[in-house]
Amino acid sequence: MSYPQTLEKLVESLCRFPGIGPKTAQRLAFFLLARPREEVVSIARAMVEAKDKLFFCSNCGCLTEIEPCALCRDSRRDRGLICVVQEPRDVLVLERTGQYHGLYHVLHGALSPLDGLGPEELRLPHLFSRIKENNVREVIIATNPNVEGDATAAFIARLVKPLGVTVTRIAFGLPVGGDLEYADDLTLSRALEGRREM
Amino acid sequence: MTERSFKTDALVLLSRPLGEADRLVTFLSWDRGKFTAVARGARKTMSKLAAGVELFTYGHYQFYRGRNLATLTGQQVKEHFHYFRDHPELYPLGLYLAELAGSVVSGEGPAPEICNLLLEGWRRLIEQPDPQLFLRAFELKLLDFSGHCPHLNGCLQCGSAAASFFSPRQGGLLCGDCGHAADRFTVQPGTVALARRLLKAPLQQVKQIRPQGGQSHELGRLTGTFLRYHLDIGESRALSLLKLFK
Ligand SMILES: [Zn+2]
Ligand SMILES: [Zn+2]
Repeated sequence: MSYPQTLEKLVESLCRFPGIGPKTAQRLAFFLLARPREEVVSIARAMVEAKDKLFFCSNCGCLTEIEPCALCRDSRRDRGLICVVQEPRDVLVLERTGQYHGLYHVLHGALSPLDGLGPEELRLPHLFSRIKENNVREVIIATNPNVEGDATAAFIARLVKPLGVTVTRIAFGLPVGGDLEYADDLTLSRALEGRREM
Repeated sequence: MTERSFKTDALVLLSRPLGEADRLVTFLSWDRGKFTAVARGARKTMSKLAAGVELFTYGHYQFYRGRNLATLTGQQVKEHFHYFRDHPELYPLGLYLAELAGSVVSGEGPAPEICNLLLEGWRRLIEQPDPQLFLRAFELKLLDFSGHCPHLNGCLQCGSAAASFFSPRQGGLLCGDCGHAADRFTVQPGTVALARRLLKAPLQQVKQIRPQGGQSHELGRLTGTFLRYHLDIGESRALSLLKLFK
């Protein structure tokens, strides 16, 4: 069976989403076709707008539409605390707990030199200068509890401790290997409270 | 090679996030060489696969090969080398061993010698008083197993025992009379003896070997230039991390 070309193009485009195979893509395509035009336009517009307006904060690396981001601007946040996370979405996960009131540093990955992720790519030099320039007293490392995440934490601790800063690792009550973003709020709040010095 | 599902002992060389919750894992396997497979859902906290697809893991794995990539379907972890997580100085070294072992295996033929070497390397790295010497031993054995062992018994052209030059391009030692290879450099007899000893000794005995002044450095030059010339391995991305501690 062959589709009209326009439909085929839509299905193919939807197939690019993570976890979406041809069957689901087809279902989504038919869903869109069944909706009113304005709704489809607003979905498409939201995607383009997000793509055009969002970028990574040059200071902390989290997703933002203003520079620096709202978190970095917020004077109520504790500037003596920096929480290091792997991905921009981890910031949202930690913010959701409402337990953390410091600033962030998003690595956009974990130290994995064979994959081309070295200290420069993770913007570690920028993290170190932030620590030195802003009188940071504690760095909380919340990288994922897997080998790369733990090794990255150990690296950062080794390099930051000589600056006279307390370095803590959030305590995961999680099985080895799972990502931070899959932890529930309660587990995360406890992990944050129970952080231990490295 | 055509059956859809297969099992093999393997080591995890590289494990990277893929899509929403999966991992793309590069295995170095006893029976199937080096290949990449998808571990579905391995980043979810309750995943049964998560623990087995971590870097520095040795296990027995089951796969299913679809049209494209192989998919991991089951596993029994045999050994985890957890110490790499807490030792920032050893993490780059463990990665370097993986980088080297991975670079000499291509295709999906059996690679038992290289697998055993890497497994033993990951096991023994933590007990080394001189990790750099251990890397040299690993490099020499790797060259040997992959059919590129440098010639270390006298001049490779005339056989003279008084061979005090080393040429990576020619493949080993040269005496003063034979071949004036442009890339040759002098090596002390003690360094050559050290290289021979490291080649012969099992990795577990390397920690008992004490090189003398200058030998380690010279041996590093010997294996480094040889690896670059014969295996096209330049400066290691993994080892470059160590510079941070200087
Ligand atoms: Zn920011
Ligand atoms: Zn000769």
